[in-house]
Amino acid sequence: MKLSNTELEFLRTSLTGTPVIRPDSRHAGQLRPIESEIDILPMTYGSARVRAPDGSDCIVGVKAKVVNRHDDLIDVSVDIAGLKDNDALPNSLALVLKQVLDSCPEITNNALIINDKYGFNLSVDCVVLSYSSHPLVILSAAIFQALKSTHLPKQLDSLEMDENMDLTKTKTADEAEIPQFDDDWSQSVPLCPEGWTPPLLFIVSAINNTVVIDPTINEQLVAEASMFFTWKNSKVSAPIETLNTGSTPYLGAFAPELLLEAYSLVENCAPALEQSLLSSE
Amino acid sequence: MIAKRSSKQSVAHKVFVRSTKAGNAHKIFREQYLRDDVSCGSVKCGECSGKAQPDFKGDVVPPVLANTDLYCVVDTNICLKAIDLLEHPDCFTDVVIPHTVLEEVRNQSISVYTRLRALTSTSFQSKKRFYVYHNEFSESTFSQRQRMETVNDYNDRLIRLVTKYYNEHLSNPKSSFKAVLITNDRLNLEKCRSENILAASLHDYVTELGNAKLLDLVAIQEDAADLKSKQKNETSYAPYISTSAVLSGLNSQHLHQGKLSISRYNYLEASVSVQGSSKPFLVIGRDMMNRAFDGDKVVVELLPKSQWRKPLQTLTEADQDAGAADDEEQESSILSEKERLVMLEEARNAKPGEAEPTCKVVAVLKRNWRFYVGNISSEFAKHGERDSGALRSVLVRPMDKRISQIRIQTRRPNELAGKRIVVAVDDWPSWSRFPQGHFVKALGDIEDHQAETEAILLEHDIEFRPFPQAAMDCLPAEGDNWKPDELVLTSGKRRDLRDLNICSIDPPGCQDIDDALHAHVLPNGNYSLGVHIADVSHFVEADTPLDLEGALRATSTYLVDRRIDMLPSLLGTNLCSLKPYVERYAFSVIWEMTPEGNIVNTDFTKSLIKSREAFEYTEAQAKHDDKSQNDDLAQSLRILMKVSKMLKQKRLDAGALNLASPEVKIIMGDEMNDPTEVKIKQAVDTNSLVEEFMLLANITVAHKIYEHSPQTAMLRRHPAPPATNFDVINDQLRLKGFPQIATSSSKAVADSLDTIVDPKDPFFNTLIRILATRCMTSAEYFAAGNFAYPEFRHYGLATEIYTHFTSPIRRYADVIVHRQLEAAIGYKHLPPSHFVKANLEKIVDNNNNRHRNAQLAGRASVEYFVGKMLKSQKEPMVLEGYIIKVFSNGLGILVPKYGLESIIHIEDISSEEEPASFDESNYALILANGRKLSIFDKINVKVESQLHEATGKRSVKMTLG
Amino acid sequence: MEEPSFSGLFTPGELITDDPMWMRGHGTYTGQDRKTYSSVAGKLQRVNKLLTVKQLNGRYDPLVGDHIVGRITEVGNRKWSVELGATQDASLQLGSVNLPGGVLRRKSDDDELNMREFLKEGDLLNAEVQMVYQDGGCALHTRSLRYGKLRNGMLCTVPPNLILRQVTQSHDLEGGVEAIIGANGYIWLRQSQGQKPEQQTTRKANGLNRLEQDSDAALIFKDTNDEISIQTRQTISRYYNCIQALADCEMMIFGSRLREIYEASLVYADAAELLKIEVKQDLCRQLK
Repeated sequence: MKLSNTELEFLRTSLTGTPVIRPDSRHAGQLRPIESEIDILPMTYGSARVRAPDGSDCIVGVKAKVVNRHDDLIDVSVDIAGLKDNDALPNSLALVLKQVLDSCPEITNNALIINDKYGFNLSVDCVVLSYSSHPLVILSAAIFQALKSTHLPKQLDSLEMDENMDLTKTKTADEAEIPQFDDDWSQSVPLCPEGWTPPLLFIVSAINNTVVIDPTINEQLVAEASMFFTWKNSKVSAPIETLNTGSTPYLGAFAPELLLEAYSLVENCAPALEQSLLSSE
Repeated sequence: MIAKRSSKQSVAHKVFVRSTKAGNAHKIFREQYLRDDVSCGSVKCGECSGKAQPDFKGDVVPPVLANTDLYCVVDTNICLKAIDLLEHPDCFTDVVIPHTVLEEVRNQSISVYTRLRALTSTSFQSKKRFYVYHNEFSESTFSQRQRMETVNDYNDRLIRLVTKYYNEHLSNPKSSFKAVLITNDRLNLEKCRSENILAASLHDYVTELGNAKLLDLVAIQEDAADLKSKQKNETSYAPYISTSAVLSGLNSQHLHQGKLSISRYNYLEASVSVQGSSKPFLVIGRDMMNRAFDGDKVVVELLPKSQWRKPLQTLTEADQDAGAADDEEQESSILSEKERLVMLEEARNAKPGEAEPTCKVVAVLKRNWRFYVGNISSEFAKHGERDSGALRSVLVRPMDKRISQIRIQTRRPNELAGKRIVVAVDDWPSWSRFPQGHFVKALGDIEDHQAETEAILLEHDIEFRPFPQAAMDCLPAEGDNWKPDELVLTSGKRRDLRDLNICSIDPPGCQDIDDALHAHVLPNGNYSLGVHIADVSHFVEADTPLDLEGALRATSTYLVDRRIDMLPSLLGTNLCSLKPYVERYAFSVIWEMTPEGNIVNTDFTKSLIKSREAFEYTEAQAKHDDKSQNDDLAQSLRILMKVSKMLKQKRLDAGALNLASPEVKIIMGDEMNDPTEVKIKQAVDTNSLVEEFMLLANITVAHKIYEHSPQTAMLRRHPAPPATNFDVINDQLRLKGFPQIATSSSKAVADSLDTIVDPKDPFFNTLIRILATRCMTSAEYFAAGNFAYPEFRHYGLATEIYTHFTSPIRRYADVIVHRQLEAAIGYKHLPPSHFVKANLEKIVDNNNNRHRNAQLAGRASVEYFVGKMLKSQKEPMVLEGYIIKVFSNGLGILVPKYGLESIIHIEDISSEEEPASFDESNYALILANGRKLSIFDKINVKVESQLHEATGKRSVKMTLG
Repeated sequence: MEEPSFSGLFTPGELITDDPMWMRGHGTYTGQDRKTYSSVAGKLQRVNKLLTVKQLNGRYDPLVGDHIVGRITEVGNRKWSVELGATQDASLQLGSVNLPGGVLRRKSDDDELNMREFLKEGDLLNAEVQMVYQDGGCALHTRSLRYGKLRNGMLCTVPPNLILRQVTQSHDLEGGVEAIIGANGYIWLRQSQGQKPEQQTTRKANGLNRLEQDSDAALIFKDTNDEISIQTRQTISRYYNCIQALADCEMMIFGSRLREIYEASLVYADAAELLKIEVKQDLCRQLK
């Protein structure tokens, strides 16, 4: 989307001045309010929908199936309405999100493992119904909500038959039992371990000497660069990467000294976002 | 009509997890729409009949439950275990079956489900009023499954809700109506008590009715713990492994599954045919069989190679085993002393080179339990003594030697002693020596003709009840007065062949004439030959009740004195039967053949014929031979004879097998019950004439239907036997100095069989043929799409493709083939159900099973009558017999005169002081006096009928004559 | 014969009337049976014998005389394509534009080659719809000093059916901000200009000084912003949020309402509060 020179100039001046004046009056470290709902898809194991005030809307559904535990355990797919499946944006989003989830051993090495041979493969399917600003933020919030509300079928103990079973016989990997599950869904166990929350992603844009968090599309167009940060286990962590926002007249690098500022922006607002997402359940 | 959204929900959700065999789990989310117009089904209720919705035909289903004071609500276990009681006319007259229960029964046992459904159909309406109440769709009785509630608890709660609903819905201060839940589940009964819902155990319900006979039918569900504590021994069967272990074992090829077949000679030996292994696995010994029944689908684990065994060389019959006991006393451990000795002996003598893969049963996937006919072992009951009325455990010894004794409980063992009774098996827990079952009904005294016949039919699963009304309603209304309609000829689809010189040749007294033949010379010098088969498919339309009944029976069963028809006799002996002098519909195959025997044209057509004459075999032979007779029919017979001889020669040249079986014919005495003579059937040339043309017709039709429906054509194949099947008999022939049976092809077999002759004994060749038949595989029906063309081969007839077309009156497969041929010639479209391969596969399986069972039943009937004839002899008869099998403890003997086959036990020809020794490699038993009894020896045997004291069984006893 | 109902909504495909007497306008169609059906979801309107269904929401439908704000998408053969949020881009002919050098300046060949110096891709301008073609496309003109390239502010977009067409679409608002409400839902918020441009030009009558002419022209096509104070910028952001609040609550947008809602919003010192849905709803409830 192209803006006129005067618009760009206006925005840039507003954003690079002191105080920082953002088009929607937020201050630099303020996130936009979002609306979220969980359990909107009863057929899935967990689901959520997040809407942003600019009309961006996305839905995430989580399903699981039993596979060999050494296979890939997380699959993320992103579908953006209006874009083709082989378009760069949805594919790169899916990659980033998968990377983020793969880096959570609490899930990949723990919650998804059934026994020596079998594990759950989690399919996280995202649909972006509409977007104005970069969909990464709402997607990450939706995935957070969806995962937090995901339940997996409860595995039944195999030792339910006669008491005369020989328990001393050890089982080889070949003999590892095919898991049997409780057919009562109300017995299902939550995916996320107690007290652990899934990661969240935040986008920060650098405009001259200013950094702003959760930029609108216009703010991104006047920025030198935008990056996203992962918030995991109550601190900023990898992956941290630059976002490709296309060519802007001001294209440049994210100045390193601004990184620290960006860090603190994220650290300031992430816990609050987490809290409000959790409390909305 | 869906209820408007009021305070009650009209849409409910069901969420649950479904696990698949591969170990996957899926979350299933279902919406349940609740209605407010589900009728309670009772005539008492005005409200529900007002709301009743018409079905798709526009009819309103009338209320079922009558204006009585007691409705029973049944739960799943009652249905599964006490289906016989539910069907009994003296109890359970007004029954509500909750939909939940019906579904659970369907998942657990299709046979019980079918019977339950039959009870709900209209044909029972007068006596049995069973109503299915769809509780899960009705707002009044639906309830969400609660957190932490197991499926079973949830279902129980739903069933209690149904009972409560009926009580509230139909209760009336003026009447004493009550709806009672019948269940044996203790927890459920307790909950009912606390929730003020009327409930009773099955036992209490039956007791209240006051019918002593009924009480016996109630299978006692004693507390497992109580019974177990009565068992003081520690040895027991190995418990079955868990489902998940089975699944993973099968997947990793650690375990195998297959069907268990217990050997007829030795109930301690069984084999399991496993997919992927050409040789079946052996299961030796009772604890290795681990409570599996003959015909069960089992999961087995191979034993280590060091424990592999040879097939047992000993005879062991269950009735010889006196090691039974009832559980009031100390039970011996599972293996009786005798059994253990046998096994040890075998183990010692086993040669390592000949061991076969041996396995043990670790789980049972599907039980093949059916009704078993047997009688109470004499240790438990004395006929004539009075019953105390107390409940006693007795053992029932089934007629089928391969089945273990079954423990039942009854109040009147003495009354039942000496009778043939029918029992059903309920369970076989690992700590119990015998399976547990319950009494179903008594057939009559042992040796009572009626009882014995019924026993044979029951044991072979033959449907012999009268045809259901629905099936009879499918017959033409005119009944015996039915005449063919000439108008059908005008459409051109059915040809008028009434002028052909058609005649039929059948055994004497035959009334169901399936086939007729004709032959004449054409102007161009070629022969016109025709086979005309009864047009059964005209009368039996697909998927009608008549068709379904015929499909179920699959074949007519021929007992000595009785014939159980596949189709009602109105069709079999009248309307379909190609009787002489009357016009009948037929399905004709007409060939044009050169005098040298080459077929130049084949025609298939539906026809209207008028058979000139119905000959008996001997009559036809006489007419053929009599040179003074030169009419149409005589000439026709001569052409047919000539051609049939050519056809036969061709078949023999191609390698057709001519095997003999000792078929006997029973000559009944003046009274219906005691046969006076038993004869072997004699064959004349005309037998062969008919046979050849039937074969030709079958082959021709097979080609045609295969061409038209290569996936679903119903054909018949006979796989070639593996050469190893002949190993034993060839070894025996070699030892005796006779040529071997060549096994490379059927022709080789046929030719080599011709050379195995004993110049001193003309019967010897026949004997070898009889034994060779037993090395063959059995022929089977199959759907063409399931095999490759080379596998269509019928080994015994030496033809590349074959089917059964010529006997639709007595074989259901032929009816299917008729329909397929109709479609192939464009006469009529195949009914939609015949396009579905799965349907045809079910029919094929059923046909194969029923065919086999009917044969076995026929043989059992002959055996029984031969036994009766022997019984009527005052002195044991001395007859010629041949030794056909040698065991370490007995000889298998065949007596050709009566086609009798039995055993000489070692105890009867030797003793402890004068023991006999077993020369295994020479297939001989050597007596103490030096006499050698070896295979194929012709000896004199003394044959008499013997009544076994303990079991009340009559058998044939043979000793050296 | 059914009298069509003028209350309530029609859905696409719904029967309006089977009376053939009515003339059918926008948003209706004739079915096979020659009855009148609605083709969109909206409210039925009637002018004498003409029935139209005004769509509840949809793309901007240009009408002659509409004052709109648009963005240049293409510079082409003697015309520019302007994106309006309508079904088609509008066209702005070179001859319909006021070029520097006064109203009466003759067009020369040079103009064409230098079109980009006046208006290039991405530029925003306000213009008036001169005529509407049958296929729904339209032609614009900027033949007035109140039309031209837009600067000193930022754009706000709302659904076009929330815009009430008024005689003046340019509003002076409190706080030194001016709003140009385009009928197509594009609203330009800018720093208010002290003097109206018309007044400037009327002072310069015939015999214009070339320098003065240039300064006028420069004004019209100037590509840079003036100095804008922090206050003004903040006020502009506040108005932006107010307009979004009105749009989210589906209220009609017009000048006096804008002033009203701004007043009401001053209660919230931090204009970022206006992003919250409760605040938006609260503000709109207060309006008449």
